Amino acid sequence: MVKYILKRLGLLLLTLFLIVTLTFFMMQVMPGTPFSNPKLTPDQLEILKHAYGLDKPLWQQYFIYVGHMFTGNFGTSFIYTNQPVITMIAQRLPVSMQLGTQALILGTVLGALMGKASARRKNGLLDGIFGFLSVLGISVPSFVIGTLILLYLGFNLNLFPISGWGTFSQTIMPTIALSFAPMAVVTRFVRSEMIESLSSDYILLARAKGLSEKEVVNKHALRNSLIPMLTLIGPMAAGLLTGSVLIEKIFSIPGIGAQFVDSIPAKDFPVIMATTIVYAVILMVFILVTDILTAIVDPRVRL
Amino acid sequence: CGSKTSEQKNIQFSIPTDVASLDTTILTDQYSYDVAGNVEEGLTRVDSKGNAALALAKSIDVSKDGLTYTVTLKDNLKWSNGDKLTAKDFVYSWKRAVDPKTGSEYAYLMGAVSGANDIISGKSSLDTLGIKAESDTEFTVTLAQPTPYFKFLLSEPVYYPLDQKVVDKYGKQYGTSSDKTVYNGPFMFKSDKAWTGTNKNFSIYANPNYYDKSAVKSKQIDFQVISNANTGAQLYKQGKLDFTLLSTTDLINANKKTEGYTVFKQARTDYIEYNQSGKNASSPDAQKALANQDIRQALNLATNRAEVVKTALPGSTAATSFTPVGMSKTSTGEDFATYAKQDYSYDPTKAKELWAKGLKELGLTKLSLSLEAAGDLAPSEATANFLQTAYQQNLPGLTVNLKLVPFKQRLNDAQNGNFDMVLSGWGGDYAEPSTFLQLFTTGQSYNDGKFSSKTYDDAFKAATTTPDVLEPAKVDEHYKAAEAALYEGSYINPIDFQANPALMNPKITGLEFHSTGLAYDLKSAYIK
Repeated sequence: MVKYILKRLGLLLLTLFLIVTLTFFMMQVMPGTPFSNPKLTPDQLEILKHAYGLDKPLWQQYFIYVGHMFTGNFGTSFIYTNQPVITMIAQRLPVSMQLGTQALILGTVLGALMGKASARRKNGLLDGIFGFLSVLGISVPSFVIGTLILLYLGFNLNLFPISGWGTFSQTIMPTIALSFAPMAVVTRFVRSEMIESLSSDYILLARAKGLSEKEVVNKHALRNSLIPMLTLIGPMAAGLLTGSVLIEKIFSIPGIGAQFVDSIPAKDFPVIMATTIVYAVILMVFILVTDILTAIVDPRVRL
Repeated sequence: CGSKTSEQKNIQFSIPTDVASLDTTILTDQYSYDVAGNVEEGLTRVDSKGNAALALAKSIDVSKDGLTYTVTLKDNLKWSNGDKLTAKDFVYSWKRAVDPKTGSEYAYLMGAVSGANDIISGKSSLDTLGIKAESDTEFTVTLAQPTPYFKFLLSEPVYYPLDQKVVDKYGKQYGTSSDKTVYNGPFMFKSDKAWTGTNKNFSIYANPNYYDKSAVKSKQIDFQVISNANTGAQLYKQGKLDFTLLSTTDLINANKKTEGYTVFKQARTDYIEYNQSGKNASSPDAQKALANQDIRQALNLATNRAEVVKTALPGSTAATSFTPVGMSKTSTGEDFATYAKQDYSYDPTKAKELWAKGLKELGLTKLSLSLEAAGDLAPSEATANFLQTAYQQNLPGLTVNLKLVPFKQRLNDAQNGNFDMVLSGWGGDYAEPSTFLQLFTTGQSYNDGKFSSKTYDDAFKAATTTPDVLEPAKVDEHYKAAEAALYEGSYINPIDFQANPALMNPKITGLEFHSTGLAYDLKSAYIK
């Protein structure tokens, strides 16, 4: 197991190195410079490029960047002039993570409950409704759901504040909007897993032992269906925690997703690089942790 | 939100993008400026009549030749931390701005000061800058050449003073959050509801050390960053916001009847540039055609500006010159653009005639031209779409290929001359026509179409150099002649003067809007 983890960590570093290199050179293909003022003449641009070291040959810039990276220096932003990228990420990532975690918990818990109810009354009315909701959740993008929630719960009913970040009530609408997709995925997953396990031999045995229906469903069928869900939640969590670009824009949330997207057309190199690295690391770590957890929970899996 | 003091309601102001910096030497975007300009101040501040009124300066004496400015500061000026604000703070700040190591994008605005351009390009040392402190309250400025609008430049952030002690303390971090900045303007930040560098809700408070504090009418103003304009409009209607910009065509049209709908005219002109460089056009035919004045004139006459504005740019007005209306005044107090108005009219019949004539001269029967515009700017895309259809309808044999690209790509293509027709935009930095008319002199790098007009060059030169530069009436005449030269040669095609439609609580009094420089001056603003 330890050997396996070390091997995976090695691969992780190699992948990260490739991502850094590819991102660095791909950024150069984009037109323009990070300097946003269209009034700068070519001469003035050259002076600015020199001031920020952007006039050096590309390979030099690359090695300088990688060198700094190893010392933990990710540079300063061009748009948010002179703000250290690390500080920007440190301020924004927790916001996205809080939102993502809330959405993940809400989505998984609701999804598991809905999946369970659907499986128990397969093809019933509730199953139909939940089935419809999960198809909706999977096929309708979060920004559409976000906009609808904003319109009905925010504008029309005036139940929650429609923008900003700071109080818990401000997190409710974006959380609901973001939780739709995980809820839908989990509902479908738990439903099919449970239908399968409810018809398996050990359930039959449990019933034969005279256990109550509640115990059969909760202790045996549901618990067994939740184990494979780990593999599902891992990558989903990584996606949710790194911020939803559109939801952050719609609800004016100071998260990392909106900042990442804004940095690209602005050619804010240091922000693009650092955010890409953070995303990559989070995603890879989650996948790794998921694999390890699966092995621990289910002894049949051998690493 | 909606915090109230016992007697007065705070203005709830919104801006559409994050504040990027409070460092007045290096901030570049309009909304950082709108915040910084209310917490910092320069020697002058543009007043309600559009004049550069004295602010930190008690007096500014200009020598007869227009080259030496003697500035005396008001007595007992103080920073928000209690430090004395002296002439040295200007010397330090101006040198920091032109220092190539600082990397200030607006350093070019300092070009009027003697020595600045050479320092910016690294050719000479900081000591050669034309500013010298004579005492704590007096300093002299030497200009590179007479600059009639220098008092307007003095109201710009790059010209603001800086407290060296504080800048040294925070180094590169200066201005990256409100606790790493010091203030000298009507308002200031406090630790309560501070700007952290990323947050979207923050407040500014009346600055007790401000010399003119009795004129400051609000104790506190709350800012919110609201990126979604629909949300902004909705919060306004719920009474939770007092000011929000309307940024999309739909939103503007939907809110024209809303109480508080206000249109702020900007000093920005959208215009089409024609590639007259003789190279890099989409085809040899296009190249030849755009060098032909009849063809260009036909395109100008086929432009229904009133209709473009109605369809694509609500709030804006049809352009009648390159320099926009509402930006600057002539020596007699008339609006410059009104005074220099040209006959940019829509005349499809004459357009057809000239088009046919032009094609015949070139030996062509049909022509394809590309029209490039920024696809990531909604109004720009809408304008290009409209013009494509209109041109093809009005000019037989013409095919217009739309090329919608990201803004930075458009900028690149325009600067490198890789286009046939490109929809460009220009905003003024200060309230004088040269901020626009400097663009099209021969060889100027913003002259993307690379045309050359001797009449234009002569007029611009006469307006900006001695002896006429010192006579305001003559300056006006020369600038008008430059506008006429642009029109006569059909070198460019001005489309519209941009505007910012907004929703503003009618109870707000004292908010000053300026089309150049600080857009929303909140110094005397309050809710009745």
